Amino acid sequence: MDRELAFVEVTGTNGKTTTTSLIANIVACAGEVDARVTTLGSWVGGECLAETTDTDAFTRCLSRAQERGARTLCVETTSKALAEGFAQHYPANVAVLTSFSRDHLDYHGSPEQYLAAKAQLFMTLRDGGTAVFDADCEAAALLEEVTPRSRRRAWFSLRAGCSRADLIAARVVTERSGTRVELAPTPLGVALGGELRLRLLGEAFVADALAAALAAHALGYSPAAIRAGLESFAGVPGRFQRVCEAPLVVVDYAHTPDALEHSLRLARTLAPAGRVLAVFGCGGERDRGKRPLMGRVAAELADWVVLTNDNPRSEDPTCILQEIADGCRAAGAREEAADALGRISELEPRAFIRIPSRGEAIGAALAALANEDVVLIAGKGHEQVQWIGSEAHPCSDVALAVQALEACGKMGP
Amino acid sequence: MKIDREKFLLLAAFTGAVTSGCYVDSGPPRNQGQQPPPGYGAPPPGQQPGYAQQPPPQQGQQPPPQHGQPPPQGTAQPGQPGAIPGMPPGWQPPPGWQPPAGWQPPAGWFPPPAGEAGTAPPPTGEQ
Repeated sequence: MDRELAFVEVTGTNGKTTTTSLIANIVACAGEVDARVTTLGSWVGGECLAETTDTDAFTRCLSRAQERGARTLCVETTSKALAEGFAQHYPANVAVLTSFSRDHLDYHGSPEQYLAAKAQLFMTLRDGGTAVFDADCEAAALLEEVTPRSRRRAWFSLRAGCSRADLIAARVVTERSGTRVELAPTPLGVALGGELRLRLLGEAFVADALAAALAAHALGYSPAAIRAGLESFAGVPGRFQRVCEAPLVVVDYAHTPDALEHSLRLARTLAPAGRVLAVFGCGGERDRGKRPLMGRVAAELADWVVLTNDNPRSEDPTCILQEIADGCRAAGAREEAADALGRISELEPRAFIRIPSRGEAIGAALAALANEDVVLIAGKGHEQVQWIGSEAHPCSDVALAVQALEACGKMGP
Repeated sequence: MKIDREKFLLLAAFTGAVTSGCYVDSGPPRNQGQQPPPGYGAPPPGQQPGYAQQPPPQQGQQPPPQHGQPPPQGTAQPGQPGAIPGMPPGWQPPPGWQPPAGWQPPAGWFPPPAGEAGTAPPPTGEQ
């Protein structure tokens, strides 16, 4: 194939996988071969080439995309890859920042170094390229500063009053069935019909959708393809994934304080007359500083928090749970015995319990669930194993939730 | 999350210098002997990676920092032509880098073309 492949590279603390997949879906809706590389694997034209994320999988996807005549390759780029020089080897035609918040400080050492890693994507942007930024994100202004002056900028915003953005969500309404987005009358907003109806739930996905729209627009995809791609997208496994709509059970990859906060705020809006239960833990051998922060966020935003094991790896799981519990207590939550969920309707909210076994924790939370409640099972999302020591044990939050719902006769639509 | 702008700009430039291969220490270059993967962005056959074109560092030059560590302190002095405070002597800006206001690049530096140093990591390195 003679035509050069255009690279759309997406980075950000949260939203990379969804945004990358949304862009690929737009490409498919335009009638082209879609190719994407994400942390979940690599696909070309619907064919899954790999579920691994190593260099070999990437180069195979690249070759296959070229063989199949793809015009665009959508690539999720992590800060670790960028710190090791990925963008120098594969500079982007379109670079996207989805969000920026605390994460991976164990690897990068400081927020500045973490952002500096992400900056590599924008500093190396190709001639004629476009950088897509969130106008509401402070870190985006810094990345804009290091982006070569000759490259185009495209901004999105979820603030109705934003004056400088190219695509603005003027109003967002989220229901259990989906999210309706009213677009401000910018040129692209008008071209998209002034409104989007997403199957995805929540404002975080609206930001991802706006970023994807700007990226696709920069590459010349039509407003019709963009709209079709955004509205037909069913979501990414483990990203605020609905396991059951009534009662609402959600599996989410949120594993940072910021992401957990967003997901819990969304859960609250979806439970206007019910309780919000959060089930989560924190990974071992990763940023320890976020553990009490996540405990605090959960205790502030959920009625009940069930602390459980994530991927403890070589760390003592008890110590990890203790560090999260410290954050819960700091937020004013009280600790209850592990069997307290059985008496949830008799007890005051703002409480937390510890159930180290993830399966037992999910089972206890779902058994306590009423139809108007929402349970957010956070941290592992799509993952299919749990790392304990150096061993990987089969573990899927979705499978555990389905099993628990069936066991207590609550598996609805 | 609070970001120190000046620290960020220096680290962004330094990370770019290290990852593009224009800042090396006196030891063997990273991935010595390896070629970038075939395909987009790779140099033509026979072309040497960018780091091989760099002159050997002067004796006494500090080694590069590890990822996640701050840049070496006290190596370049404010006011020195071409020097960015906190950056090592011989440091060169990466392609596309925008210097802080008032900074002028030293005579003779050149931005290396993209895709020359080492082997590309996978885009989705473990997080």
